[in-house]
Amino acid sequence: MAGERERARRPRRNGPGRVRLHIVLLALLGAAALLGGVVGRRMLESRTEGLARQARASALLEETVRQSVEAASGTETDKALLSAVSTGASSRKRALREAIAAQAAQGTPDREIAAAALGTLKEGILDRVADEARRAEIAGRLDAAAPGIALAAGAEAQRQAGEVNAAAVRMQLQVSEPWYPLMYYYAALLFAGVFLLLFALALLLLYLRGDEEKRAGMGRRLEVMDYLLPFMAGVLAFTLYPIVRVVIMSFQERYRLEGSFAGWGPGNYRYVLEGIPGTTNYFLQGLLNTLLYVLYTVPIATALAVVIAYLLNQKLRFSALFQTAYFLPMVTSVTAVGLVWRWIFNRNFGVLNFILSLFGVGQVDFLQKAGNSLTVLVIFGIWSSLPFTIILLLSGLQNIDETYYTVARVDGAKAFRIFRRITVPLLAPTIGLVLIINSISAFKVFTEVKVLFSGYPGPVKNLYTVVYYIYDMMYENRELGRAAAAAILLFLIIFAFTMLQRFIQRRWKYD
Amino acid sequence: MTDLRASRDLARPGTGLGTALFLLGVLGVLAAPASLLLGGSRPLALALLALGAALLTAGLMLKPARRVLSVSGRALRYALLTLGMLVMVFPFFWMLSSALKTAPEMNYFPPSLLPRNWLNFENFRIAFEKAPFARYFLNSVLVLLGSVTVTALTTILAAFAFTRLEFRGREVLFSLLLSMMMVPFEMLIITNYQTIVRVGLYDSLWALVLPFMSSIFYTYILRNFFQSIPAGLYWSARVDGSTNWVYLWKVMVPIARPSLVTIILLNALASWNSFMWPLLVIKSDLNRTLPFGLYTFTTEVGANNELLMAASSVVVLPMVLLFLFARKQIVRGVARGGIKG
Repeated sequence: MAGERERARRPRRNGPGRVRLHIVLLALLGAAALLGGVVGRRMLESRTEGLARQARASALLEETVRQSVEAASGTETDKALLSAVSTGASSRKRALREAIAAQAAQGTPDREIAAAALGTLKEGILDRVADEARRAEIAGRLDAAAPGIALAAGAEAQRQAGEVNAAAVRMQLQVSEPWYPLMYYYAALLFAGVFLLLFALALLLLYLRGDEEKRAGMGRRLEVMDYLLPFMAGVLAFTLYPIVRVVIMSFQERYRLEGSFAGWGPGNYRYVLEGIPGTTNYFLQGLLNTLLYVLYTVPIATALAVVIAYLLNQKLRFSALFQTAYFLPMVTSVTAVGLVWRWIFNRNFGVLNFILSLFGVGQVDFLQKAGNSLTVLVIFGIWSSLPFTIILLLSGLQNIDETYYTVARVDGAKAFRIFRRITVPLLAPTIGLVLIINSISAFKVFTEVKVLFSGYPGPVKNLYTVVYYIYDMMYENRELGRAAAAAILLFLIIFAFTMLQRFIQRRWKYD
Repeated sequence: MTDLRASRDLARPGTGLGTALFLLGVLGVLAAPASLLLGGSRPLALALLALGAALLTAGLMLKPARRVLSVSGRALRYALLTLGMLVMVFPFFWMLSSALKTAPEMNYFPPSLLPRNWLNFENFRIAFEKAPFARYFLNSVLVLLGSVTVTALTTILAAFAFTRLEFRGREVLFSLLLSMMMVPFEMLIITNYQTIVRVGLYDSLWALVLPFMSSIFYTYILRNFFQSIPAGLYWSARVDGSTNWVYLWKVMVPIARPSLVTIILLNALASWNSFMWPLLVIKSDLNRTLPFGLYTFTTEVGANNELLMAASSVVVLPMVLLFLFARKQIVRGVARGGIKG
């Protein structure tokens, strides 16, 4: 009795029911993928056939025309006659093109087509030659050469048609074509379809063989899969695959968006590091700019944030107001706020120039003068990274035990002494963490530059950053291989930075 | 009590003079920039500053009353915070103020702090006429909703699997995922760009949602929270015959609501403000989201900064409102591990 009730209560989906459902779904999905792959392959084949037919027809035409003109000309030297021959041959070209296409569609053998074409060409050539004796001579030469020409043209047509294969056609597909993914990814689809079907079959076999217990176990394992599937699909497609692919791509020299590349080797890295000799190496320029940006922005922002966070952490009236004000830049779009800063930095009517003029500083050209670009970027960078830094430090401050302060106060320590001797040392790990996170995000500066300098890397291409370089390579130049090499270098730098900072932080903590 | 002591302190000879000198010094220091702002000459301001500093020092040497010091310390703290606050908020104020100015008003020098007519919404109208900002807005909202929904779903399911479901290699898999977080998005973007082009999603809103469908970072946050819910609860529910599915949605998710709200808010912010990715995969005008649309708008209007400021306000204000309503949740989320962006 009790056992029966247990079974009745046992979740239905967790047991064999889930397995049955999966077998059906997987089989359907596999069949769909297989169908997609087969259809894609078919479409690709028919396209290939069409292209091959075209190539064959045009090879037949061109080859026959070329050779017949050659044969008709023989050893003649009369310019008028030679031009008559070639215009005569060309005059029939258009008609021939249609005739050949029609014959080829009917499946006529190449040699017959060529022979027929030769006949038409002969007419055309002879039409243009007025002199009777010459006409007979040319006709004789053409007749003599005819079998050879037909044979050669047929062979050439075969060769050119053979060069049009599915793999080549696939690489030349245009993205905008309908059903492009089916054709481009037919192999992957076939593979996925077969895999899913086999998986469903294996499940079916196991299900039929297993007892109730085994089936329940299968259901449990499938359940885990279900929960993880959407997440893992995203991670695999948009995180893991890109990581692997970018590493490979960085060694495919001049790998371009369309998928063509020149060969394997470290050429991309060499290009990125050496640039084009005699011109500015924008990667190194970007690296230097980025390093300077990190070195200015991160310490200044962190130092300011420590003070502000310390002040905010005191018992404070209007603390909600202060917090809102200080954290606001964090939630606002860099693009929009960047435009506001551009207006603030405006040379003629900008408010910053007005404030500076109060102190007797003349009009400063912040945005157009190359020497000022980094300063502008750093100011904007500090302003926009402050909120985040303050928040992290504030939460670090709130983790410090109240009793330290109480004891210090009882001992009569002054506020500054408490700040220096208690707050700062206990906050050190948080500061370390903040330095790491801020450096890493500062290393990726891009949007700020793009917006502040209206879509250019600084007024005179002087403010490239590493990510700006990657963007330029990838989007403007379509050189994905070189962009990948630059991205890997960026990753290595960030990685080294992280390791170094962690090492320092660990030492500091244990000392 | 304290008042008594303070008056006693004040009454003491020497300290009274010190307090007076100190306060005079503060006044002098404050008067210096004020005189500059009111159009005074620079030598005068410098003289005031020097005098103020001298008086201040003299007062300090004569030991002003403790109460004055502590009040002035607190005042100094508020003054510093207010000064910082003004710097932080100024760009927003300036954006709104400029958005309401007319074109001639923009070219005043010295600039006028406030617009002459506070109800001048002409710039907004012109901006909306010159570029399809309504469409940009709709796109941004659609992408935000899609991204938040999809990401929340994958995150909840994965976090649950990594917390309560048992399978071989769970911990290893999760630490592998965590190590992938080190790779900057700027590196993945290259292949993702190619993938989006290849599968025919280029220039569609899906291209803005799909690549962000699973976030390791959010899963990590949610998993941490799920782990803090006692496992005993899970097992007793299971014994009572609850399925994982029902348990997840009826028990885990309601308990984890604060964490979920945080994740959703962070995700919404990231989606709304993202710029580089739309710049890469969106081409046609009608598929642009707000930041990208705003960016292209700058090339159209050139020097008309009042229009730009109006358009910027449209991009910024929704997130400012969101922040005003959900400040605590957003701050908590950021404090937990930062914005990845």
